[in-house]
Amino acid sequence: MSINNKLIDFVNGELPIEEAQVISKQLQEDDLLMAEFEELIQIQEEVAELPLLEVPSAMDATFYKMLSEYKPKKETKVVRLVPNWLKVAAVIGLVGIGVIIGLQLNNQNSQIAKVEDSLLETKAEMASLMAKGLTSSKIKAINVSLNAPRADQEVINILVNLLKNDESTNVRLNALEALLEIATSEDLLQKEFTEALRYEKKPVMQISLIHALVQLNAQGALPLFKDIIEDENHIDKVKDEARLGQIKML
Amino acid sequence: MTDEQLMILVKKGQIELLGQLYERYKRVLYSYFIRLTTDQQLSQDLTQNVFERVLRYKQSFKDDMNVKNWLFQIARNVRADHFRSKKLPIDDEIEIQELAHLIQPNKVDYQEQMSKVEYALQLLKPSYKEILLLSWYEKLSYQDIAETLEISESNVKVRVHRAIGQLRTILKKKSYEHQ
Repeated sequence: MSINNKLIDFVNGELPIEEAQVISKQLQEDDLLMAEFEELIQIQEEVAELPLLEVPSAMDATFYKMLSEYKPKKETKVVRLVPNWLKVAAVIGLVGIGVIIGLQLNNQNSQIAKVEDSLLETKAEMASLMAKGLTSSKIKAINVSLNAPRADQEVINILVNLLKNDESTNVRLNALEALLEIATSEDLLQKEFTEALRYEKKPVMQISLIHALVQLNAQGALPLFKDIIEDENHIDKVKDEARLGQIKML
Repeated sequence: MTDEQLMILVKKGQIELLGQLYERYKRVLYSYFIRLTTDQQLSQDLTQNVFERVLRYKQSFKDDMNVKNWLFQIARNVRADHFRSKKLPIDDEIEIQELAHLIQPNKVDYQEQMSKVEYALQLLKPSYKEILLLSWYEKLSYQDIAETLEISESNVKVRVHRAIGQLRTILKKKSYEHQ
């Protein structure tokens, strides 16, 4: 590495201690190097002191509106048949069993119809976005999947496919998070996540998959964790996460 | 309360606490975006988008994560998604000469008060500008930058060296022009 680049790392506090000591000594002996060092420090300070910009007030308004309107997904998408049953049961005492059973059945049918309609809409929107083939469209499609009113196998298959095969790390990461949120079969998640981890090359994804598998207490992934720890091709951070995962799942 | 403690509570359902994180980071993220894009409206939208994603993906925040790094990771993805969706080049495809058109006096107000360094920063390649802002402005370590940008630490080092080299060249050229 050239002395100029070493000086930059020195200014950034990124040189190993031994090399930093050598540079310190050189600075005391070399006036030109010292001048360069001072110039670097000056530019660094000027960049560091650039002002933080004020945000337009409209941005605050938009944020707080979003926050106030936010409703956790589970509260909005879960069809709560039990409370309706309870309501119906209360009415039963007042109006009469026969009439209420009829009403309740109608209510159930209408809710099921609404769920299926909403699911069809979700799938259509996803298909249209996926067809564009753009990374951003795929991420939008994944976000749309979160609105699915129930865990649908077709939607889950699309997400699994994106998780395992898409070339964009962002898409794979989003698919992983969406699967954790909407899939109900832990066995399926454990199997698919383990398989995805086996072929995943990006450390950020490897770590996310390890976290997800630990969260699911996927005992079946432990041999793979062992392989990762022993494999020299994996970076230390990933190996550390696999080791931590082993301990957490013991 | 630390950023991390706040985020853990947001994750557990105390959504209103996201307001505190927003207040801490809105100017940081907005400034980051505006320096990268020089577009006020776009920077406003991208900042808003970051916080929407924080809310949507709050469960993916792990207790051992650093909030600032996580926000910048999201910020980078938000920006990349925007450029991809518009089919615009985001990184080194843009040459310095092509960037010159971005430096228009009426584009955003803040350019009127630009210092010499900030002006020079605007002339850097986007990927160099980004790495310098993360390193010298946000004071992230090479390791944190590597995680944020999803590149290796040695790649960060190379980019930092080149970015600083290019910034110094531009500054020298500017001061020569003013003599």
